[in-house]
Amino acid sequence: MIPISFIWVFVITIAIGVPIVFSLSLAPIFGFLAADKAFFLKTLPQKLYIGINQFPLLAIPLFILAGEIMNTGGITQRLVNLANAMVGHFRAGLAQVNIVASMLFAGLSGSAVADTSALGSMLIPAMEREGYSRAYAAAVTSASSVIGPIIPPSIIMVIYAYIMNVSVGGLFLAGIVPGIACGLGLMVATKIIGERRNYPKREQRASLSERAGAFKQGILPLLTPVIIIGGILAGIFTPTEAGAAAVCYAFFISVFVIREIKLKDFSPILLKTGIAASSILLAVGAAVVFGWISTLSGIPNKLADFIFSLSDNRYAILLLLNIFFLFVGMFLDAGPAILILGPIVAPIVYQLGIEPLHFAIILCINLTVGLATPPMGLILFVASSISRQPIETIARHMLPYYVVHILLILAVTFIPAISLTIPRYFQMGIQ
Amino acid sequence: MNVLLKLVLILDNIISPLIKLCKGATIFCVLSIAIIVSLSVFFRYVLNNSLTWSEEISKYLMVWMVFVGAPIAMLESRHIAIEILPNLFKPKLRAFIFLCVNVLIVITMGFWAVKGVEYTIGGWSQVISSFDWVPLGVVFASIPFGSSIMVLISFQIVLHQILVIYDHEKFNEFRIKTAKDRGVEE
Repeated sequence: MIPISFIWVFVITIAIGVPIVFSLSLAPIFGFLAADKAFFLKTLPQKLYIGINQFPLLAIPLFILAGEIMNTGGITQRLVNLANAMVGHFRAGLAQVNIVASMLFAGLSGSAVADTSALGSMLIPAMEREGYSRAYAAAVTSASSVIGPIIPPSIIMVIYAYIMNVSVGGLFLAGIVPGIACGLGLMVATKIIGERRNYPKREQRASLSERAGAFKQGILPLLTPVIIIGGILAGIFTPTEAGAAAVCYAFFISVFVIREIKLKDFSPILLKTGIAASSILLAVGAAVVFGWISTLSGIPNKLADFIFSLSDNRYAILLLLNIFFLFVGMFLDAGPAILILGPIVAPIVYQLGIEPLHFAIILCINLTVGLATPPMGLILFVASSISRQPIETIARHMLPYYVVHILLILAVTFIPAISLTIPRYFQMGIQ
Repeated sequence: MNVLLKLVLILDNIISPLIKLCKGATIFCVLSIAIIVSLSVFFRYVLNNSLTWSEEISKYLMVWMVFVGAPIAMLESRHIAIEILPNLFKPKLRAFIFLCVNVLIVITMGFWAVKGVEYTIGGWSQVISSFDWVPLGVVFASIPFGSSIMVLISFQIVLHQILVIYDHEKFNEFRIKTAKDRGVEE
């Protein structure tokens, strides 16, 4: 048995600012030394290596690469144009465009931060020109970026599926309805805010031919999620191969159809992808090592005993867990949080008879919302650096949107049908 | 202190070429992964002929990608840390905490580097299953390779922080080269 003092090493090193990936690898080293189990230290590199050397994880660099190519290749602009033709004439039109564009973009990219930086750098200045405050523009962008990893493809879902051994395809399907519901909820909130503050509204609707034009321009990029999800459902691709197909497709439309990208632009894209993917994957490997020592020390059982001593009502426990996840998400990045919490909490929840996919989606949504909350939220950091507004100001403007996020979390938690109907229909990932 | 400063500058000269190498290797790995995984789909469906080696090799490329990409990410402070607490303190104490943080990173990555060498040596007697003339140690070697570069980087930061604590006025403005200074641009 390993004493659980290594948890304190983890918590203290994180608090003084050691990057999470190094805390995750330092704590097990300390733990085995403290337990006088130097033998285990020898096997740590092997655990790290096996943790990374996994075919499903290849989906991560591939989906990041596909997103980067589309973003450089002028595809984002086309999605914004399409969103503008659809909802630009609503009250607070550009705010609505921002949300719809996020939903469209979510089908191409797997990361919330990519969503914030791509749409934020385009739409925050545009919104400011139309008379919205910059902080509000940043708030809408941040609130809607949360949709990015909920609508498939999604990098955090790939990570969860790998660490907890559930079906990536099933998890992708489970995210579709909650993601769309989140977008619609944010649009309703925006309509209410827009009417109160009398935000601008375009006088004229886009004409039919303008709409047709925007649709024609947008249709090719919009086929990406169809290819990814369709390919996985039809059994043509594994999710990793779907990532490669998305890369090829993005390459094809950027280079041959839109033609804004040149071959020499690719080396920075590849480098950016490699750097982003390597920091995610190193954390995955380190978390596997960390998970191993937490299992050896019996933390999951201790936590289970603790939780069941509080209550044995599944709804009460789920509610408690939601609060706990949101709290953790306020401080930790979604990827590491999933890697640390998934293996510890999931077994407890399974004992309550909750479907693995259902729990997965609850955890993913909670932690993604956490990316948009202070004090630590990557989405807010990016939105703040684009808009040059302090994080607190953006967060204040987000208050009504947080209400939507929380309602979404509660709905998904207590109505399993929202997330499970589609995977159940396709019989993917449901036990 | 002049000795320390000299050491920091020498480390600059050692780290820069290594980072350039990492940059090239990262680009190579990502590109090859994308090509190999795509080709395997193409071969299976279009040519009806599965590539037996593609899955294994693309995984190995990914392992290398992680350990050549992570040092660059480190130079760009891309590994996420929670700096709420250190930011509450005065500059000098903050510099000291940052020094401790990097000492801990030197220890952690030093551990991975040393144990990684042992692991690599052990892997030299195993072979890659698709190409049985290549030792598996070639893949394992990525762990000590990337970890040692990260040790160098954080060690340089430790020295820099000692300089900052010793003479805040003089050395706070002095900056260690970033990834961009080393010719790595995103």
